[in-house]
Amino acid sequence: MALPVAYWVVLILFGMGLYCILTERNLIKIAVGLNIMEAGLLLFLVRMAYSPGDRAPLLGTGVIRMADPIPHALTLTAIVIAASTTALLLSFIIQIHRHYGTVDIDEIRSKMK
Amino acid sequence: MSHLPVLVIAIPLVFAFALPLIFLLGPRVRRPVVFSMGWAYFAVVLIMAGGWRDAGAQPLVYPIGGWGPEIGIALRLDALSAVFSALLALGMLLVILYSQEYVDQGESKYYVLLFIVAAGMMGTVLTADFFNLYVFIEMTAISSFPLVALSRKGKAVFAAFYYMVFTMVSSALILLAIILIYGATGSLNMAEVAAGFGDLSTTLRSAIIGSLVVGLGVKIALIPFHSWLPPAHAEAVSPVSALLSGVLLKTGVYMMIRLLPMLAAGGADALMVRRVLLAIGSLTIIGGHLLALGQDNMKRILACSSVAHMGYIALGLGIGGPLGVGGALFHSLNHLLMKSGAFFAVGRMVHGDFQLELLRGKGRAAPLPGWAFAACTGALIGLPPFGSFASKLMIVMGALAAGMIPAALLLPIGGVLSAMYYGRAYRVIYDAAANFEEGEDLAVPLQTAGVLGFTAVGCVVTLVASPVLWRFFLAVAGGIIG
Amino acid sequence: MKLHRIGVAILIVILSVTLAGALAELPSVEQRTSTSQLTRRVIDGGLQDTGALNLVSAVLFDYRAFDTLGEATVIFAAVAGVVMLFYQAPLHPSSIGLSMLAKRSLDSIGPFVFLAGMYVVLYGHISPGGGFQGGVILATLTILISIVYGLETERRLLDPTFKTTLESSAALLFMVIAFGGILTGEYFLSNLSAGFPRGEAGSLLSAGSLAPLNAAIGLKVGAGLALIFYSMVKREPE
Repeated sequence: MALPVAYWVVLILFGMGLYCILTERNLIKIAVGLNIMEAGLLLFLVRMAYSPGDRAPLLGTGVIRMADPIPHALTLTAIVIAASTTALLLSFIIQIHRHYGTVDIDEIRSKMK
Repeated sequence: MSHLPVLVIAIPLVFAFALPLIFLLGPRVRRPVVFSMGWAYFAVVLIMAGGWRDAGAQPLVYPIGGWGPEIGIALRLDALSAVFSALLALGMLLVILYSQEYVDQGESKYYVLLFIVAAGMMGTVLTADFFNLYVFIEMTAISSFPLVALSRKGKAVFAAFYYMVFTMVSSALILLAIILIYGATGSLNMAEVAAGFGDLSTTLRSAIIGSLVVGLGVKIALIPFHSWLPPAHAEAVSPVSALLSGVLLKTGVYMMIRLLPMLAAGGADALMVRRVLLAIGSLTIIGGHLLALGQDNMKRILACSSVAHMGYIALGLGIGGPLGVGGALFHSLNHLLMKSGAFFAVGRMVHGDFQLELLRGKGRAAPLPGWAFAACTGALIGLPPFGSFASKLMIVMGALAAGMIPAALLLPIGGVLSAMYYGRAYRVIYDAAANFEEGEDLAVPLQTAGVLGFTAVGCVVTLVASPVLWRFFLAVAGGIIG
Repeated sequence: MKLHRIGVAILIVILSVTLAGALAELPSVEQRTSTSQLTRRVIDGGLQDTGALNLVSAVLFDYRAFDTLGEATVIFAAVAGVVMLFYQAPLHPSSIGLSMLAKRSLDSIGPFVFLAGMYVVLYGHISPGGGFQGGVILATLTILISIVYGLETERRLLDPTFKTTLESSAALLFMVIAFGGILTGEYFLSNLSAGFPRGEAGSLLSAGSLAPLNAAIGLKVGAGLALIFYSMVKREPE
């Protein structure tokens, strides 16, 4: 398949993140997995705006061919959302660690019983 | 031009932004301010939705910033959005009124988050733009996670984490679908995308619809994506449980009803989606009820029963036709009343721990929550004096009309199963032989009593009003499937 | 356990290959942008419509300003959630900061960090940047102060109540600007059509409501992220 290289990277990142979330037993690693997955999606959005030869969509710089500005704006929005969720996710992990003294799911489960 | 569609989103947002400042003014002003904000929010939504009593009215499109729907973001108000916005706002108002003890404790952030959830839900049901929908989904979700962890107990925080991870994966899948939509069509406006969607290749269409179905399936906890729901809904404090189970799940239902018929508009796609929903819905009904049978914690029982009821709704959508979809809509209304009512009632019987054994005799010791609990759980079983009988009947008739006898049989089977676990709960909760420690405070404040009474009476009223509601929901469903 | 991992891996490979098939059928960028009304309109008419040279900002703060309100609210919700989670944890007073050398260095770079942050916020409609990016730079300043001078000093300089007030006020300022459109008979979040001055393209005071919206977002994000950091690092006394 003649996919652009960036799309393969998107697929790898997305798959890797999902694998991480589904198999890891460490809360921090799950949070990392979510971020990898989101990074894949963000790369997908940015790459989608661009075809070779395009420049940044700034007027007044004499650029003729511009990348599509809409996915760029969407990316910014998605980044901010991803950052906010990560902050919240990490606070949950800090709190869980304060309660159970560990970030391993199996250990937490056994301590809950 | 009426600004109402944007006002129902902007007003709760202004409330949320202003609350931290208002709470600085001291404890005196908190109660009146928070409750009048709740009522104001409900009133604005009701004024907006009131124009849609006639299901056939023309949709109202509101272009934000004055840009047309193709360039900017537009809000679109039609019968389906009006129904859901009124429904969700009603649930929200009940939750706000019920959680008065948190105002007294000065948990200012609790109300900030509630009003952000309120704004997010309105945005979700009103927006006509795919990416804007994603933003509102995230807004609603992110403000609901800390609410689950409100008690800051270990179990609650872990449940919130677990809930959050599942929800983030579901949001990522929905975002993936939205990016693919933009990449394929170059547009984000729902009407434009829907018009050009049929021209896309089969692979693209199924990738988009597939990730949407899975994403939304996680969101409304269809089996096999359900495992986050029971801990999150059971470990949260009672008003939040009611919010999550009764109200928030309905935004997922709305998106299913809105997006799937829009994208899988005809032919093979629609048939495929309906088959998947039928299969998953049936699995979820049986699985949810079986899960509930194995629980010893009252709130877990109610949470697992939410899974099963999402199954009924998915089944209704899978059956399709005006009766199936209308039944799913009607059941959403009933489930909102009875499930939030049941959580409200349990929350007034004990505090903190909801093991069934701790509830022994509480239904008699606290008469009003006891009666409300009986009414709401009776409605959850689906017996005739309650409105959910009518909505389940609607789904059954839809199944029979489509010739799906096994699907029709699932509803009475589910009713029997739920009668089994609620029967077990009744024997404990209304145990006449239980002794009480003296001095336990089970008195119900007037406002909470009003909320409990409203949900309990509401469960019956929906049956009394069912001829009207039945016709109304049929008309709304007819408008969606065209 | 091992079996579970292999199963997940196989599932994900199957999903990725299916997805690759879908990606291969996406129209190329040229194809899409040549047919998409949306992209052409933004590139060709963006300056006329919004007065902004930075088209990404034009989309973010004018065409799709409603998304931006949404994401600002998402941060607001995250801040509220984090603050709520750590509400009961009082400040741990033992952190005293780093050496004198580090303190003097921060004294000299601090004002420039602030300047850089404000520049990125206020020039968002002209060059790459904007309220979110600038706000993050402003928040790093408070983080630097907490590390170098110790939390206690940072708290004395910028009280959490002050940060909360600043965050809420900035969010309300955004709403006031947004409602300006309705008051002038246009729509929610209307920009030039609601009478915000167009100015001369490329100057600081141009592009109508873009600059004030950016400023509101910058203050809100800066205060919000500072609050998140503050809530996370304060600890219960041992």
